[in-house]
Amino acid sequence: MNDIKLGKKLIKRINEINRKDIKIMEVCGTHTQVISKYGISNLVKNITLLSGPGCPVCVTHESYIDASLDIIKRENVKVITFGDMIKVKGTNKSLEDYRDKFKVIYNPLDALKIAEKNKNLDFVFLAVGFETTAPIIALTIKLAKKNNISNLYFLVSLKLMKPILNKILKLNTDIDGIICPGHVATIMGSEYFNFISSTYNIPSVICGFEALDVVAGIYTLVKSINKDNFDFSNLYKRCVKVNGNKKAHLEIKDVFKVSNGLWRGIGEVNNSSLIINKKYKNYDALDKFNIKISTKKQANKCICSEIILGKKLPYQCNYFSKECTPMNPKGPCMVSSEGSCANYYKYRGAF
Amino acid sequence: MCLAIAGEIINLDNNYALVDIMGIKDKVNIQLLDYPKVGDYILIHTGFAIEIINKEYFNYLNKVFNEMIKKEEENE
Amino acid sequence: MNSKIKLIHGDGGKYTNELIKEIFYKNFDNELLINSFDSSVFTLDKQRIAFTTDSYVIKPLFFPGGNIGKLAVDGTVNDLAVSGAKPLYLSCGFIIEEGFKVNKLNTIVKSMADESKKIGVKIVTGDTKVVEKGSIDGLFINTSGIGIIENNYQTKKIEEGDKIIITGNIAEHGTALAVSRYDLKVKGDFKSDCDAIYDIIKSLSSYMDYIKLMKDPTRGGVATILNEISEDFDLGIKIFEEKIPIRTHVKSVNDMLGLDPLYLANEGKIILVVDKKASKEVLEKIKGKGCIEANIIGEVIKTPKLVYMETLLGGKRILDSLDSDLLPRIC
Repeated sequence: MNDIKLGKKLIKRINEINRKDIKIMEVCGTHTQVISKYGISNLVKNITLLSGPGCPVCVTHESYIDASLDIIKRENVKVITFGDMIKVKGTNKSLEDYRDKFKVIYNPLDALKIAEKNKNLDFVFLAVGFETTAPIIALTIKLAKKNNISNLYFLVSLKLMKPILNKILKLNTDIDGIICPGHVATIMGSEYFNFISSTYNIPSVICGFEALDVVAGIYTLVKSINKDNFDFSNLYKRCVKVNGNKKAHLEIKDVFKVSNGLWRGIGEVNNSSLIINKKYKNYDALDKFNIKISTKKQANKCICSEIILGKKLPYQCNYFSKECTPMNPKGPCMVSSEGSCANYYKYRGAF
Repeated sequence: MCLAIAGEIINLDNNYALVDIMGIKDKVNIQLLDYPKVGDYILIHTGFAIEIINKEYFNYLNKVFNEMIKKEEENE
Repeated sequence: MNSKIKLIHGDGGKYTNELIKEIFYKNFDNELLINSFDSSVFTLDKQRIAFTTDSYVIKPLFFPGGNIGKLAVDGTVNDLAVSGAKPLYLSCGFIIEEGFKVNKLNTIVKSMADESKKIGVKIVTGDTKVVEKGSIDGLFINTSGIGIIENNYQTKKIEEGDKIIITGNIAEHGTALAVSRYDLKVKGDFKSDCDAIYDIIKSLSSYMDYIKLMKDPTRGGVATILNEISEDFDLGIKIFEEKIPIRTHVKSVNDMLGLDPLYLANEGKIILVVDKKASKEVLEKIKGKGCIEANIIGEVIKTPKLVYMETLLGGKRILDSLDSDLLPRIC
């Protein structure tokens, strides 16, 4: 409760000291959730909180889903996945349309148990996530190899935040500050994000996920912006070390290698994803099922890519709240309950 | 990204720890941790511990920002 | 009887009769049922009758704190109770998958009998069908219920200023099911709150003039039910996060899975909309019935015409209706 008291005080201070119209971007689905959960957006005046490409829906390209569906339609194969992916649409359909052929899990190790219990079937685990989840997927793949599990494969879609942040900040001189994802930083180290301030001359903070963490982050950015500073601060010191988690780095290096990544609504971004390396090729679903993830550009008539990159706001899209609503979404920003458009739609001028 | 929750290590068993997460108990993989001990608070994502939470910084934000506000109010 | 239900048990002949006798009549033992033919016949004096129906297709069939049978009785009885009725009679229809274990069916049916006895409601008629293996997953149950309206209760028009009360901790049933469904090997106290709530409502009989509306926040949770109320009456509802009762264990698991307790099912709780003149007394009465966590969580407002929550930080969060299944998240 002390945290909430301080949070309220900081919000008051933010509104007292801010003299500018500013845009702050966070790039983490969980940060978007916290901001939504506590209603922080309408508590801070003249501050637009932008949601960048930080949730699995927003970043999972249609062709990854198409590849999963290609696999799921085959005989004697089932898919194992985190809950996040169920409703994400590929070009036409989502996993939801194949109800009996997938299982939702919380812990990746459950995939090993499922494969061991059902040796007559092949299983493909949709290993989706960012740097936080990467070492965990790595450990899971290694354990599958160690236990000689021969009916489990991984369709990997692990994205990296640094390249996408570089892309956003190169395209966008409008963003005044960045809230960095605290758990990616826990794995990668605070040093992973200090390029934001040094290269782009805007302040950035690493934040945790409690209400106070996010409010303190906004307060710190607002102070810096109003003083024309571009400081970089780690406000999540309780979890984030300068170098991050070295064991995690080793696991990632052992199993994966960096490759170009496909981001929904944005397209290909160089060196922005991890793929399974030669050592663990036997566990790669792409190899086993002989699939290629198409890099063909999706015809998105809406301006989601500009919204995800922070260049435009939802109401600037011609389809927003007309043809494009949460019930009938056209692009990732509306599909995801964490997407900018979905959030804007929800608050539809109520307050 | 990414949803993670904090818990206290109650006991250790090779690559796993029994953890107390606000009253509920769960088994968590600790292979990514350096020398975890009983009593440590750890950060857990999808059933794996990704870091030991540094107790020295438990109240960091409270301390730092309360002081900051106090100073600012004194200067105004 | 065989150990497994066969298609022939649904044919209406000798085997159906055997099933009815050995499982249903044996458990639901009452005169009206045993003496009935195609219908159960009884007299109701000139009263206002409440009549409701619900079908139960829950998975898994057995969960911590109950099973599909107990739920089928409590759910329908509660629908009668929140309409202001004393529950009297239930029907139940079973659709059983070929191959279903007889002793499992007996356990479920016995739960229904035990629950009915506890509440004082009688199961007086029913139906059984057996379907081919694979056409359903195990068992579906439908229960319809009849009750007599007491204290002349009617739903009344809700107005700005009316208070919203909940009778206890939220999300217990939905959380227990999530722990089961996602195979979370967490050790904690997770139990469905599946229970009959007629007694609580009975204790409020002298306040019925002030109670405008009662609902049980089952599927979709508290948030969805409040949205229904808001839409039905074209008014808004404001609730306060700090006033919502929730157990720490339940909150932890939801934090772990990324689920929102406001959208998880409750099977033994009531939402009441009460005239503010009597809201404090009604709350005290409810607490006196053992519902120690009951609380006034918010009130009806004129605008905006939607449901929102004032968060712990003082911000505002719109609570829409649940539009799709909640799934655990990692991000």
